[in-house]
Amino acid sequence: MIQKLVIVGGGTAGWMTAAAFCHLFQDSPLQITLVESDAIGTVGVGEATIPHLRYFNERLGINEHEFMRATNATFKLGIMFSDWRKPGHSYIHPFGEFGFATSHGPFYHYWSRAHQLGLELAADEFSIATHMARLGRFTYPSQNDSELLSTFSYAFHIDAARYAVFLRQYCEKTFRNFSRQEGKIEHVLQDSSSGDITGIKLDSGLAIDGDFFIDCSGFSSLLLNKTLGAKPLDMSEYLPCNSAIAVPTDETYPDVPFSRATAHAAGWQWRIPLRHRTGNGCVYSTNFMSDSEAEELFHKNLAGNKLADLNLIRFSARRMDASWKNNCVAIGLSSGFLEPLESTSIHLIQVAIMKLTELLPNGKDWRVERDEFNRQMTDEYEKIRDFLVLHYHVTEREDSEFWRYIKNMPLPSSLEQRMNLIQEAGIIDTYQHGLFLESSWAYVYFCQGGQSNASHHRTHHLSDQELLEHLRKFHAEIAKTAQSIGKQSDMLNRIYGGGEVEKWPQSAMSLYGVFS
Amino acid sequence: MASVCHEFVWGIFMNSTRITIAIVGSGLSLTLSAAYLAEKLQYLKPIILAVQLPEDESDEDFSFSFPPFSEPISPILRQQLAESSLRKIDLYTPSSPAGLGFNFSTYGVVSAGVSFPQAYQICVQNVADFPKYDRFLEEKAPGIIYNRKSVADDYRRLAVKKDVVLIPCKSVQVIKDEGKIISLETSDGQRVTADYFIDCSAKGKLMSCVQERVRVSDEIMPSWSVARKRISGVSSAISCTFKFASSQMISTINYGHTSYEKTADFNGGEANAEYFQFPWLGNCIAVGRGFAEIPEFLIDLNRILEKQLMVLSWLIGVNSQTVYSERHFNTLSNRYLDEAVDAVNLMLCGVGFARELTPSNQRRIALFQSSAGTVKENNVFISENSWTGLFHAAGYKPTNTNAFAASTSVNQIVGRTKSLISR
Repeated sequence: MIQKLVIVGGGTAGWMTAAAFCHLFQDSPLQITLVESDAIGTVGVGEATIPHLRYFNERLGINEHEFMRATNATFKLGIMFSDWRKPGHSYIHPFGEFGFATSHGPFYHYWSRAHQLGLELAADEFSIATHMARLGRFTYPSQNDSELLSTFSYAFHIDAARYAVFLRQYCEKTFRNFSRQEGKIEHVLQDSSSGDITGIKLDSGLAIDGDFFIDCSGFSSLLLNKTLGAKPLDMSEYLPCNSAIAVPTDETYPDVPFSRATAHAAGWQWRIPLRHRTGNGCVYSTNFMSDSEAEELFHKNLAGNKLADLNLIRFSARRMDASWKNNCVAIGLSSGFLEPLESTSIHLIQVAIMKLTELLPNGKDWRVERDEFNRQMTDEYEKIRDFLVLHYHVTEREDSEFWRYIKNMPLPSSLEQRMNLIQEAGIIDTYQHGLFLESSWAYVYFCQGGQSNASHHRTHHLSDQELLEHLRKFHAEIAKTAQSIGKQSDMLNRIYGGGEVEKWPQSAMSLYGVFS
Repeated sequence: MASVCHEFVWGIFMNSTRITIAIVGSGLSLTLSAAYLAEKLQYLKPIILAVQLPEDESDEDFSFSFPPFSEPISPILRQQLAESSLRKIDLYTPSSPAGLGFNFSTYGVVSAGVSFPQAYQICVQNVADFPKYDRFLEEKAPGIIYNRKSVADDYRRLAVKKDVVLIPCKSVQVIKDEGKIISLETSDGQRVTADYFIDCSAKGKLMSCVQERVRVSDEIMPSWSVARKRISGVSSAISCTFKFASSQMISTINYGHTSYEKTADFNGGEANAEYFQFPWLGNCIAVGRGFAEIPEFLIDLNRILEKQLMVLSWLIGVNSQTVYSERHFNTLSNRYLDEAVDAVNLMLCGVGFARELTPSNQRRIALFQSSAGTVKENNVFISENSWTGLFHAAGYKPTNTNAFAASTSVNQIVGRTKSLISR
C-alpha cells in the first residue's frame, strides 16, 4: 500500500488531484503532500468546463452554489463557434441531445434528410440548450425524461485560479491526512536501480520522500518528462496552432450562458464570460501568423478594459508517450496538451484522476495498471484530437494559408474513416469510452457544413412534407419552451445573493458521455 | 412453383430499379435475417429472396437470450413470452456457484475509486447476508430460453407477410466472375440474381467461394464436437455438450449453469473455430453462422447475427458506393466476433481446455488478477460488470484490490453499494 503520495504542482490539476485523493483516502493512512511555489504562476486558461465537472464536484460532496460563488462562475450551455464554417456564420455546439431519437433511429438522420429537402433550420436549432443560450436564459435540466427540458446539460465558466484556491481550502480544512508545502523543487531523487522517484528536494533544503508521485507541474513536466524521460508525441501535424495570448477584461455578460470561439485567419479567439470579468485569448499558429499580428488582431476584437498584462503561452499539441512511468503519473499539462477549443483541459485532468483512482493498485507492482492507464489515456487524447480536427477540417474556409493547409492536410485515419462513413452512409460511428457522443459529432459536423450523400430510407415513414412539417413544429416547440425560461442573470443573482433558488440536479453523464 | 419463382426472380431483377437481396441459409438465421431486413428496409422497398437450404442439427437447438434483447430477436420473443411458450431463466451473478454474471446493467461507480463489480465482489465476499443477486436484474426482463425452430417458424411467417419470397432448395451453386457473385443456381435449376447476397448458411457456403476462412489458433480455441440431448424434466430443453480436442468435456446451454458430463454421444464431426476476415466483400455479406463458426456457448452466433443485421440495416441501400460502409461493417463484425471468442476462450482456459489466452484476455486477466480491475472496451455482449462475473466463473481470482478499496472499510463499501442498488 502506498503510504506517501506527493503531488508536484498546484494549479487546477494539482488541486483537483489533491481534493480527489484526500476525499477518497480520508479514512486511510495515506499521507498526501502537495508541493507548490507561489513564485511559479499557473497557465490558468482552463476557464470553460464541460458538464462532467459537475460529476467530479458531486463526488467530492461539494455544494454547487458554494462552488459557483467561490469561482465567480456562470452557467455554460455550450460553445458558440463563429466564422468557422465561413466568415459571418455561427452555430452553437450545445450540451445535450440532438433533437430526439425515434424508434426508427437517431434524429440526425431526419435532420439530414430534411436539410437535403431544403429545411432552412440548422442542426443546432434542434437543441433546447442552443435556444436558451442565444436568449440568455437558464434553468436546471428537468429530471423528467419525457420533458424537452431534460434533454440538455450544463457546465460552468469559472475562474480556474479561484477553483484551485477553493479546492485548497477544501483540502486544508477538511482532511487531516493532507499537507501543503511551499517551495521550488531543486532536485528529484531517484532509486538508482529502478529509476523510481524516491523524493524531491526543495530550494529551502527540505527533502520530501514519497512512494508515489503525481506530476502536475504543467508544461515543464518536471517529473514525467525531465526526470523519467517520457517522450512527447507531437500532434501539431493535425493541430498546428502553437501559441496563445490571454488576458482578462472587465466587461461582463450576465446573460451569455455560453463560451465563444471565433475563428480568424490563423486560429481562433476565445471569450469566456465569468461573473466578474471575461476571459479572453487568441490561439494561433506562428507558422501562419506572427506574434505581433496576433496581438493586433486580438486587441481589435477585445471588449472592455484589460485587467492584466498579456500572457503569451507557447504550446504544441502533444501527449506524452506514457502518462504513467515508474511510480509517477502526470496529470494535466505535464501529460499533454490539446488546445482548449472544446474546453477539454480540465476534463482531461478529471479523467486522469478518475482513471488513476480506479486503477491504482493496493500494492507496489503496478505494471499492469500502468499499461491500462496509458492505453486509456491515449484513447482519450486521440478521440479529443479527432474531434478538434473536425472543427478545422470541415469548413468552407480557404481564405488564408492556414485554412488552406488545414483543408488539405492528411487526417488521422480514425477521423478519416469516421467522416467518410458519414458522407457515404450518413452514419455516425459511436463509441462507449471517450469523450463526445453521437450528438456532438452530429452538431459539429453538420453545423460546420459537412454533408452526407445519404438520405436514409429509415426516415421515410414520413413523407417529405410530413418530415418538414414535423421538424418545423418541433422547432417551434423548442423555441417556445426556451422563451418561457428566465434569464441567466436572474438565476445568478439568486445564487450569488443567497436568495431562494432551487437545488441543482444530480449530474447526468448520459447527456455528454459516460466516463470511468 | 419452381418455374414461377425462377421467372419471378429474373423478371424483377431485369425490369426494376428496386434493390434485390438474396439471403441464403437455413433455420432461424435465414428467417430472422429475412424478416428483420424486410422490416428495417421497408421504405427502401427491396425485393428479398430467402433461399432456404435444408436445416441442420443446430437448427433444432434451444438458445437463450439475455436482456436487454437485441432489436431483431425481441419482437418475436416478446410475443412468444406473452403467450407463455417460453421459459424465463434466472441469470447468475458472480456470487453464484456457477459464477456466471450477466447484465449488471449499471454504469455504477460506487465511489470514484471503486467500480460496481469490484464493490460487489467485496460485498459478497465479506457480508453473509449481502444480496446474492443484483437488484437491477429484477427491474429488467429475465433471460429467455427459446426454441430456435419455433422462433424460426414465427419469423418465417413474418417474413412471408412482409413479401419475402421463399425459395426452398437442397443446395446452391455459386456463379461468380472475378470474385463477385453473379448469381446462384439452386439444386432444382432456379437461378437467383441479386444486388446483394447475404450468406447466413452454415460455414458460409457463398462467401467460401470468394474468400477463404481464417482459422482461430488451436491454442486459443481447440477443435470441438457437439453432442445434443434432451434434458428430461426441464421443459423440452436440449443440452449441448461440447467435447474439445483434449477429450475433456464441458456442457453448457443448460441456461446459466455450467456442469460437466463424462458421457455423451458425439456423433457429429469435429468443428474448428473459423471466420471470414472480410464478412462484407463485394456484393456478398456473411452474417452469423455464415460469417464464423465458434462453439456456441455464452454467446451464440445468432447474437452476432443480430448485431450484424442491425448494422447492416443502416448501411445497405443507402448509397451505391459502399467502400466505407464495408469497412465499418467489417470492423464491427470482427469486433463482435473477437468478443465472443474472448468469452469462450476465457472459459476454456479457465478449465484448462485451451492453452492460450487471447491477447485481449491476457490484458483482462492480468488487470483482474492484479487488482480486480476491468478493462474498458467497446463491449456489446458482455458488459464491463459481466466480465467480472466471467472471470470468477472461469476460476480467476484477484490477488489484490485497488488502493481505494483496500483503504475503505467493508461496511462503507457495503453501504455505498446498497445505496447504489437501491437508487
